[in-house]
Amino acid sequence: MNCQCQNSDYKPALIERIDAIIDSTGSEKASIIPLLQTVQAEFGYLPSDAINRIYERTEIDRAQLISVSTFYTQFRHIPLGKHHIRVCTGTACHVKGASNVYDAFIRQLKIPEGSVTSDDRLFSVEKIACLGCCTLAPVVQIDEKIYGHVMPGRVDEVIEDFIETQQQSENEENRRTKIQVAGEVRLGMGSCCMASGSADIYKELQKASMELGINVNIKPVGCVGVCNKVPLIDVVNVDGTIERYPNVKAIEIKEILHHHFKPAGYLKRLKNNILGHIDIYHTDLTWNNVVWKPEQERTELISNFLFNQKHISTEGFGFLTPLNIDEYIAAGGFEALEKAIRQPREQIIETVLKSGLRGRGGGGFPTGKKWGIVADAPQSAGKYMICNGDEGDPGAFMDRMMLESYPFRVIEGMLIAAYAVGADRGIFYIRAEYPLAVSRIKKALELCAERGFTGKEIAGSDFSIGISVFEGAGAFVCGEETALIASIEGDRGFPRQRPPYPAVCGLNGRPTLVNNVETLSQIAYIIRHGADAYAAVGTKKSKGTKVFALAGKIRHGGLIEVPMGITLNRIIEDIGGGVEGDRKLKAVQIGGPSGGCIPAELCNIQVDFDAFTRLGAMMGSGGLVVLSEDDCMVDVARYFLSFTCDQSCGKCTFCRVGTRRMLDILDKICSGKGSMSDIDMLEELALNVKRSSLCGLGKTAPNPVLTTLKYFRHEYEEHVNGICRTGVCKAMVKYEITDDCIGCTKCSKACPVDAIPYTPYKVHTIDLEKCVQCALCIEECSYHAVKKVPAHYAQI
Amino acid sequence: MTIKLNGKEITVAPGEMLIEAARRAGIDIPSLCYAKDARHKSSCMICAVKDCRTGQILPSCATVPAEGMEVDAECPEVIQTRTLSLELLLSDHRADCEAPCRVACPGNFDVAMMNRLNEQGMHVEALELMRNTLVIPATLCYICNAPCEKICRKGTVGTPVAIREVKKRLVAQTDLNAIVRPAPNGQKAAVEGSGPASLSAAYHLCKQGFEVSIFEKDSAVLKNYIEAEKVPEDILQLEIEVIRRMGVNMQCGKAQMPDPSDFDLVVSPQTKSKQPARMVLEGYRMVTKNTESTESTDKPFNSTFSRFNDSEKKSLLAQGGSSGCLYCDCAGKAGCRLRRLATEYHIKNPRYAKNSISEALHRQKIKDGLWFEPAKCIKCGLCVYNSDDGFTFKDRGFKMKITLPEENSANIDARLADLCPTGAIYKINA
Repeated sequence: MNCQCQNSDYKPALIERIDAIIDSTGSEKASIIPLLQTVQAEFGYLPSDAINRIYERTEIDRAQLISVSTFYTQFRHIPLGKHHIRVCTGTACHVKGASNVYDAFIRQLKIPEGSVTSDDRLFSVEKIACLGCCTLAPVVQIDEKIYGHVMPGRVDEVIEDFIETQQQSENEENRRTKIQVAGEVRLGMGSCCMASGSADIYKELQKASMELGINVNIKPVGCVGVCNKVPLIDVVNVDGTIERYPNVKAIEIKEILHHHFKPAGYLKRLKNNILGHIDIYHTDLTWNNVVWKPEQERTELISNFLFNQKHISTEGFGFLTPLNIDEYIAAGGFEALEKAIRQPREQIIETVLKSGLRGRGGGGFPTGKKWGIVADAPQSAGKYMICNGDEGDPGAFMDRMMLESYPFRVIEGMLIAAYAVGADRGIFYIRAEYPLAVSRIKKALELCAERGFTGKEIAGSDFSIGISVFEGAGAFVCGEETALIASIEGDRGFPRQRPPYPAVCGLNGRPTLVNNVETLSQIAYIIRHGADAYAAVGTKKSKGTKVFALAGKIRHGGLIEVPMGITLNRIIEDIGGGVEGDRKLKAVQIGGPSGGCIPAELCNIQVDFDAFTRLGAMMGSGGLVVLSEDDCMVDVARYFLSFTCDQSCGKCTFCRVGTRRMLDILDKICSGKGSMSDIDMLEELALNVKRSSLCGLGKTAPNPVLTTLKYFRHEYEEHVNGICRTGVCKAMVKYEITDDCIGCTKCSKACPVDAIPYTPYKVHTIDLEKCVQCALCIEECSYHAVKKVPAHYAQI
Repeated sequence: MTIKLNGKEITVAPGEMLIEAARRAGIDIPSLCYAKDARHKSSCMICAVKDCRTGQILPSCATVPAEGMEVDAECPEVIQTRTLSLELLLSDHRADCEAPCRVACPGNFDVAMMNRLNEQGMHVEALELMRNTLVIPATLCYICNAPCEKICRKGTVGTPVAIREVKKRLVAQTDLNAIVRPAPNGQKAAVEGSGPASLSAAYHLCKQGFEVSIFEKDSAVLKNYIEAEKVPEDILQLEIEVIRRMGVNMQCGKAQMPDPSDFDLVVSPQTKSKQPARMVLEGYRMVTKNTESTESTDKPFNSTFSRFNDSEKKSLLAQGGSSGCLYCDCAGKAGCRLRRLATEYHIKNPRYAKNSISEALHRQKIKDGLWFEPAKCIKCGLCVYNSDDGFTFKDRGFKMKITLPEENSANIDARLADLCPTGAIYKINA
């Protein structure tokens, strides 16, 4: 039959392609993850023919393939639709209603239950742990395009917009010949910026400058940190003064350029003016709700946001072009490396030890001490240096931003560390969910190799190192160093019992130094300015600065770097501009799923490793999610636990079954069916999971539950009595329309499940059987007539 | 090197794991995921001990002792960790140790085993098993209200197994001439009365080699103790005849018991129960208690799961032998360390909601006589680490399971059944 001949055509071609992939990637057991990644990049999933070919041609057997390919969430065994809609369910997105957005996509695309793909196979919808664009929450990514502030009622517009942009033929190459540069425009190009449309702005800048005949230097720079204000451009006038435009839109570019730079001639200027206005009229309306911030937030200027910060890791922010090595060198880059390799190794370790730097990955182990152990570990076969960029915490995006915006600084730190401990091979371990970070680091490494900063006999010394990039395939637990090593070795990310520590026996049995991205980005500063200068910043036991991803219910979210010792209140009030929408601060969730919730009344606490631990929280990797009085703490605990439960590797009893049973109890409490004894049982189990788990994930997984039990126990008790004051726990509230309703039918039209009958000029009613509590009616109603009221599940 | 364990100094050989050092010193630290000389990754936390200096709970199977270490293997925290670990593992253990029919049977009869033997054509063995437990099996079938059939799991899927019918049919095949008198031990025993308990006691003493005499006041054996009118006369007589041929001397119409000094053992069954099958069991216990030393006073832990879910019902409808029996009991329970520890640590009713992703009674044939039942698996991974391209992990977290791709069956060594700490991998001798 027809299909048969197609098959016979298809198969050899497929096998040829697989063979080519195997030849270039490797056929050892340890190559499995990169091999599968390449296959999936080629076919969109792992076809069974491809897998069978892998069995035939490589050392990888069936047991290993099943074990590894089902462990990492990146790998798919069935093809998805043509376009992938990924709804971010990170912390910031969760508290802003990501699950309603997900439900809305499922409804909009009429995806049948049990499936994730629409019947026309055009779209697949999936939840993703965190896209790292927390300031734009809720965030949705369709293929490569990121949409921020997606509201459940607007998903149709998002899909429409996506299809439109797909159809538009790409208008790329700029044919502009630069004659004379009149000034400079700097544009942030981190992931958040890109998500907010920086790429469009970039294109628009090029287009506009050409059309207007203005020859300006358009310069993409790294993350500007002010993620809530992006896209953001800095215009450097001809006289050198800088003006900053937050939240710019593509259609405003012409006006801005116009304002600063003289166009070619008077006629052209007039023409541009008219055209520009017509553009505004059209685009503003169609775009407003999809990607851009609400009008009122856009006009506000950045004031205090940058005032209280201190830039060590993010030194040079706002003016460094991520991949411009010359600029980095001009700004003092690689000075520290040159200085370091002229020093004895012990001296560098001593300096780092004296600086008081502690690991930024979460545990806070003294970095110098770790280096010392690796340096002292005898090994003739060589040692490894791994940069841990497997940032998996929902609500954290520091590592991503650092890798994207300051690749050379991280590389420099890594080189110094490798030199100090005597490592001859370096590996960047970066989540595959961060494609921009991966590509920038790869490019930066190429540039470093060209300049002789990596490779053989660096800067005329006897120090040689090659650095490669390993893409993590989607497992939070791989942030744990032994699990990370297992995954590089081509295994499931099972952590193993320590000791022996990786510092003594790590990757391939050799001493291995694993340092976090942020830790490494602080090294150059320490070497350049000395241990004392660094130690002068911070508290007694926590030195230097800490980078936080500030998100959640905060007015100005973004990436911030603050000196240790600053209080949480100052971060929230002075830097973040207070809680969004004039609500009251309830708590700060710090450290992601390993951390805890610090209640508002304790937020005068200083940023300090040990101070956080004393409160039951944890510095973690630096996610800082602000929670307001609208957030339900039981729901927050349940959210984090469901994350760790999902991310648990499954090896050990307490983490695999224990967290699941905790989640069962929390589900019971959140559905109004809990009892007081459930709270005690939850606490007992939480304490035991913490005590008896074998790795960091399990040991810290109960923290969000334990801290909320400690500081917000009354909320648990209320839930047991059937009350969720915030109305977040759906089972405990119902929707009601009050007499304020004027019968305008807006809610009825908005309701996606037809739960509100169309009754013009009459007070509307809600059919609770049909209602899915998506809150669209509340959003639509101009008279605040739709309310969430207790459902009286358990009447006392 | 020496360390302190439970306050005593013990020596540790270089490179030796704590659990081995402890066991050598006579302190048996229990374990599930660990087996000596096998590849393993610590996971179950049953071997938990406390580091007295840091207060940390450590898995002794993966802890290399350090000089001067002080370890406690019996403090309350350790006991709590072990107990909780067992409770958690059992909450995800979708399996019965004993089939519900056996649990419900007042005589504790192993119905599933009978069905297994019967269906393999081993009628004699099946009959023997029945007699050894119930002594008068067919008679009991007529006077028992058969809780075994009421609780039969197959009944929730389709029709319950007609257990009484199977038993009656087997008894009807009795070959009286094939009954052999057990070898005598040279001792004499007297049993008072001829009710179910007395007959049971007499039968089992006889099996132990006693020369047994029953002394019954009435003119007939058994009849006055049960609702004899419900039992067909020929069946009743057949089953009494079996006991007589075993060598039991039945003396009826004797008002008085003989002089005890003529016997090595005199038994006067005083039963608490009025249920005939229960009385049989009590009679048996009476004589086994008298002659053998009891191993353990603990009643063995019995894992159960509540009901079949819909998908299980669907897949089980077509299953079952000619009798329809699903063999709910665990065929690997004899070597089950999970059950043994649950008994030892006095696990009672599991406190945690039982839910599991695994399908109850789903069985995969590995090769002849070797089976895999994933719902019993505790995911310790011993079978994965100790087979080459055999068992493997699939998925992660709570959803993680251990699977055996069909293609890999040939790579499996039957010795894995001994390594498996539960009845998930088991041998059936057929």
